[in-house]
Amino acid sequence: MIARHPFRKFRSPWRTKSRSGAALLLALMVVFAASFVLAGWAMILASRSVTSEDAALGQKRRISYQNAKNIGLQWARRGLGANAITNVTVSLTNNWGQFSAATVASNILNTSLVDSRINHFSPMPNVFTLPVSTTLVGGGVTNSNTFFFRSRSPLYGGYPLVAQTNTLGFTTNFSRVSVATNGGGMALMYAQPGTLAVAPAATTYNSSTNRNVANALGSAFPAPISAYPFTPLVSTPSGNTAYNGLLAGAPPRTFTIDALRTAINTAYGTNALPVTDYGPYRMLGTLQDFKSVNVLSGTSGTIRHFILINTIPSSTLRYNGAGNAFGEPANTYTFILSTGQEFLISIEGGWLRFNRKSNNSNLSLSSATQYLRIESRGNSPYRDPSLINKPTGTNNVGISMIDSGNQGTSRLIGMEITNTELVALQDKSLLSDGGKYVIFAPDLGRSRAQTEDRTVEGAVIYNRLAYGDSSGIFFLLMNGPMTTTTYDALGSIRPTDSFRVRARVNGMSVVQINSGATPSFRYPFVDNNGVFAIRVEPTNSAKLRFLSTTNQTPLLVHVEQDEFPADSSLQWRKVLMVFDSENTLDVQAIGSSLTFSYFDAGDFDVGIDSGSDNTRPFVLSIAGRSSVNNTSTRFVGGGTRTWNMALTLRDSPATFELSANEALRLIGGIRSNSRVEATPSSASLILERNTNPGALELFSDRMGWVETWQQ
Amino acid sequence: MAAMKIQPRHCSFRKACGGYSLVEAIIAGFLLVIAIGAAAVLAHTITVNEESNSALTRALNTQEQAARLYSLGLSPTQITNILPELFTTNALPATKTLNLSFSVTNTNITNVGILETAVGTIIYPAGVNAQGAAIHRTNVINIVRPSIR
Repeated sequence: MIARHPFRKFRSPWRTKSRSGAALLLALMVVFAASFVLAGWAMILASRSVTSEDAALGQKRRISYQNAKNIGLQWARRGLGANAITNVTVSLTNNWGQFSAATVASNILNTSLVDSRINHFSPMPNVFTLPVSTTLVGGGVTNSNTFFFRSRSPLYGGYPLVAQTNTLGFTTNFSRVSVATNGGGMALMYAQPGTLAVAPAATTYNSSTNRNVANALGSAFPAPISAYPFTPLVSTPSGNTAYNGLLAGAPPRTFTIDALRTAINTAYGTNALPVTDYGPYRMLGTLQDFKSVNVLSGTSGTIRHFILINTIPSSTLRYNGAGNAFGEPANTYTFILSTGQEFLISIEGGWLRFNRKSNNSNLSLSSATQYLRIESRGNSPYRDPSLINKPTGTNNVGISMIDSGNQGTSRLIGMEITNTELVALQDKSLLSDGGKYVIFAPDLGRSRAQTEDRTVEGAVIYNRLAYGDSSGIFFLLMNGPMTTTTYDALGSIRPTDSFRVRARVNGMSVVQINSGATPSFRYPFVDNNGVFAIRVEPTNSAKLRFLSTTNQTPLLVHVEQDEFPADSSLQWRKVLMVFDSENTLDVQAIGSSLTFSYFDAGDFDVGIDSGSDNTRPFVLSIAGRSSVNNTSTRFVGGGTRTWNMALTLRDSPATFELSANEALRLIGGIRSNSRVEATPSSASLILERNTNPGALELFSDRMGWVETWQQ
Repeated sequence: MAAMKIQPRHCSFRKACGGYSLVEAIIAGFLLVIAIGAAAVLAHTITVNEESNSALTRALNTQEQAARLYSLGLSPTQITNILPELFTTNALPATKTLNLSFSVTNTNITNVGILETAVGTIIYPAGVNAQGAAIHRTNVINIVRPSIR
């Protein structure tokens, strides 16, 4: 017998029910777990749907923020060529973006601030930077965003050759021009390379007039960082606002613009010279800064010494008032001054006038201890006599030599300081070693008809003046129609029409020559960097040559013809030229080797003296008249080996007429939208980067672009 | 008896073994069919939802890329040529195609200049409805870009 299991004896009443309950419990657990799974599943589905819907919100947020930035870019780029940018707040409808910025009062391309922080994505290093804070709102999120207005001369930024599209429809062409590979320079092409010959052996590069591609050219023209960010330049400018261009295969992260100014008149104020300077190139540091100092109003410093002048040479001084119908006094006063004596004239509410009445009335100050001086004395409120301001409506100059009712002819002959320092200008500096206050301001009858002759002769400015000032102010003002009957001693400033000249300011001097038909002398300017500037604006033609400076005085020459010549067949040129003598003591090289000449036909020649290098770095900018593109600037001369020049040509072809087999080495480079060629066929022009331009950076025309940074 | 063979120890008695009647089995099977059917419907719904989400995401992404390209300066034609999608001008684009369009106007804003404004519209097939008919959805964005670029 098998023993029965104890439990089989007593069958549990719960046995069957417990099984059913367990199964039910298990089923419930399964259902419970399955419901979780299903609920999770449903949540996942819901989340996926919500995620997709949220994607639309994210999309709008990103796009609206980009919209805000695009508004800011438009605002910033539009202001690149302006003297100031107006504050603005722009809100797109339905919250598709908002941009706001405060007013930017300064000229953004005129800054000399260099951002020490390096952006490796900038097209050029060590750029001038003006940061401007803005606010961007996109998708309900507000961000502070800094716009960096960058600018730099491309020639000094690493691109000795910059080709740009000719806005007049002419072909940009470089013939026998190459970039030296040893200087680290690269060519920068903004023009369409449709017909470009890229083989290095050809050394001929053409570009069509299309303007939508930035490109690099072959090994002879190493690529500018793979055609990086410069978007192509700019077409059909109108005012300061319209710059157009197309994408060039790279994002338009940066923006290139030839800063445009349609009328510089406004920069000079209501009494400004009617200088009209338009077209792609802004001459930074020159014209723009001219407005900062009003020389003639005397607001920026006392002009201490006035050096003039006699009326007729080889005559003695006499003040003659014979008493006549013109109201002159009846008595004659003669002052004889012994050595060391002085004669003081105080003027209070009146005026001092020298009136030539006869041929024997002359003024002569012949020795080093005799001089005519007008100075202040005591604490009189009139202790600062000014020879500058004349009543409104007249000549508006301090000293004038005008004709009275007898229709006589006023003549400015010249001046001397000492016999021992009577040296021609071409041999000495206009500026003395220590710097002197000098005014030379003859008014040559501006009211006369332009056809009348005026003669300036024998005016000699010396290297060392008798005065011991060290302020370094030089001031030169000439006005009136003149002819070159006599080769004057100003170093061959020989306009055949009227002109004015003026100059000045602390450590800096300006000479300006322009049309006498313009009754304005307010020609403010520049900085205190010890730069000597000359501006020539003849209505017909002028020659300016044999300029030289001593020591380390930078020299700036701005030659500009009238924008509205009487003879429309004439072709005009504008020239901005900057000499920087920093670290260059050999001034004779410039003085003897560089000649600028205007000719009636409109050609502009730069003479290259044979056999000598030009070691003085300088900038030469030439802009053609907007409707003329068929005249050349000629660089004439053979045997020169190296020139240190940065050349900017706008609508102005240039020809380097060199010797056979000569390779002219040009340290600096060329920026042009016109034809540049070297002749004869065996000659060549080799461009090399100037890695140490010094102060020339400030005076060179720049390219500008905008970078942004989110804070 | 078979149950007793399998589980002789626990199913020595008929009542103790329980067992399922035919009705129970039918009910259980019916419930199972309902569950399977529901799962199948849910799976279909998931698939439709997935396709719809995918279409939406792709359309939004395409439109955003188009907006970015427009900001960079490309024309609408260039944009549709560049983007890796099949574009059509049909008002009801077929599956795997998109209708992408831009309505461009210039807006001159004081002290800012001309902004090139585009209303970008994309029409995309977003799946099918319960009847199997195609559903199309539309998304509209506003884009501006500088005229100086």
